[in-house]
Amino acid sequence: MLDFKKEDISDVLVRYNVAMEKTMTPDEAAEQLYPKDELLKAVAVAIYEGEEDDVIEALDALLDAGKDPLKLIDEALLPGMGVVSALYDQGIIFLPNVMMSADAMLEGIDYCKTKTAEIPEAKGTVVCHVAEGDVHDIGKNIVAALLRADGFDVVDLGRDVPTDEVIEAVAEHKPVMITGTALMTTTMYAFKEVNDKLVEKGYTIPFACGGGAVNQEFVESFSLGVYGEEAAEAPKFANHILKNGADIGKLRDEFHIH
Amino acid sequence: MTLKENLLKALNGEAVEKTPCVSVTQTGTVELMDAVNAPWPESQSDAKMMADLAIAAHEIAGLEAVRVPYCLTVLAEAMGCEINMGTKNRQPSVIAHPYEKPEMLDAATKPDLKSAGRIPAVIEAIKDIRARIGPDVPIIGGMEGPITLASDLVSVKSYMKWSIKNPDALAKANAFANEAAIEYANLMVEAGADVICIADPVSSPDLMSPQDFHDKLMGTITEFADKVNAPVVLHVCGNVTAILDYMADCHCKGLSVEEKVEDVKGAVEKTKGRAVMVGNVSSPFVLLSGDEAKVTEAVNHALDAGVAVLAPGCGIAPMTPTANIKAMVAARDKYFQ
Repeated sequence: MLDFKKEDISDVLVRYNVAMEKTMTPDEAAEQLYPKDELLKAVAVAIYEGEEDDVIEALDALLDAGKDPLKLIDEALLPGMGVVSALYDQGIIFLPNVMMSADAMLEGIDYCKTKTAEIPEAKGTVVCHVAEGDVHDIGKNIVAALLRADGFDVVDLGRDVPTDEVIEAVAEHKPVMITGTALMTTTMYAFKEVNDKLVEKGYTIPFACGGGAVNQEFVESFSLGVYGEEAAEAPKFANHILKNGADIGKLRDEFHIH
Repeated sequence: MTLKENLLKALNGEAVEKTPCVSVTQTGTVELMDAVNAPWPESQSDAKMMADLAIAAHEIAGLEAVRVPYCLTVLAEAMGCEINMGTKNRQPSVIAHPYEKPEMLDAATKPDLKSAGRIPAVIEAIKDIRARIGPDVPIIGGMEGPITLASDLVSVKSYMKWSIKNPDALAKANAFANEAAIEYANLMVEAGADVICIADPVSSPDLMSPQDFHDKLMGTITEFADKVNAPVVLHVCGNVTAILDYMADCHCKGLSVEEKVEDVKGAVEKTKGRAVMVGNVSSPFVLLSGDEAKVTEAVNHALDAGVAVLAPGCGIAPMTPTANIKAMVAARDKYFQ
């Protein structure tokens, strides 16, 4: 069994004063967060190091030990990525590590899926896009990586996405949330168009917006908008929706700066 | 004292009577494009229009330097990146990268920059600007920094990946990009640029870790500053507080930061004697969407904190009203009355 919960992480970090004093290297900090079970730990280490081949090898060891492939997603891969997300949240590791680790974890998820005929139960789907007219997709890539790392299915529409394409994706995939990122003030007005089209079609789905010049005041000016200051908030929003429903007012109460 | 002397002294850390008010980042706005009939994207490529629009930011909006060009893609394009030229209110951007795999870098060759892409237009524009404004107004040549150029050449994703998995390829990309960046910067200086400003958003802690900035990036920027024959201003987007100390050791005269650096006073103190601070009036929240009162407040805040050069914190947004740029200069004047 796992003796590792995400809630424990902040305790560990405080206990070792990682965030404050930086007396530990990232590797040492990660060491404190790995699961104690050797086999599970091997998966977490491989994800932290971004070593795709090692992830598969570590999963094989667990499969050989009789573990269920789909359960490994929840019990080995996501907690392993949880270590990386926690260290990123604390500013101990940075984006390149998260991107590498997310790739390794996704490889692991695909591998587990090939080992079973069952269809895994996804947490939910999120549609991600960059505003029409904007070709800067680094923010969206971070958001998508962090959502995937948290176990969500991501429909990545890419950059410079026309409003209608967003609406079509919502109709097709029935996401729990939409994200929109824009680097430039000139393009963020496309969010309002997406919002108005969604409202017109009767959707009440939260539309998380952020990036570059986007600010809270602007995002509050359209009815479905929820503003995210940091990319790391996207999975927090999505989890909040799973737990408390798609209530825009509640999301704003919880996450907006008042 | 001329505007040029004033800016160069300020960047050198010397006392000046009035803090210069310039933009080290892009200055093209739709209002100015309309005023001098030099719209984007045409003025991104046409030397005459490029010069017209650059001069407009000085003559019409009142900024105390002429800054050219308006994007971070001129050198990237010359080096083989595919560019989307943007629209009247959207800057050009890099959409495809020539060297996404490490082995591709082995065969990489630098083109003859003097005749590559839009470089001849930029050089011609700088000469034209100098001829038209005379010797006393400073010209700031803007360009993508070597780190951002390297990431444009190999893609940000590969760049990040190599920073962890393949430091040799990262170093190779940096060296290849830097050789071209230094050459291009010196071409601008020869043509008449008094100051070079490199915008290097990819080296921001938003993307790369401060440790990697120290270990793998700052050597490249330092070499750039050492080999360029003019004072260099290093602009990095985002909250760069964590790397300010390292930025100050890159041999750049000025460090340009945006409003996300909240403690500018602390930044001034931390970098004292090594570099001066440039900034940090918010481009989106003050110049674009604010009014005169908000501009004045931001200007006073920056001057109180001790910036050596008053400037927008980042590129001026194309829809920014000229009135707000004028208000920035006016607020500076009032501060020194």
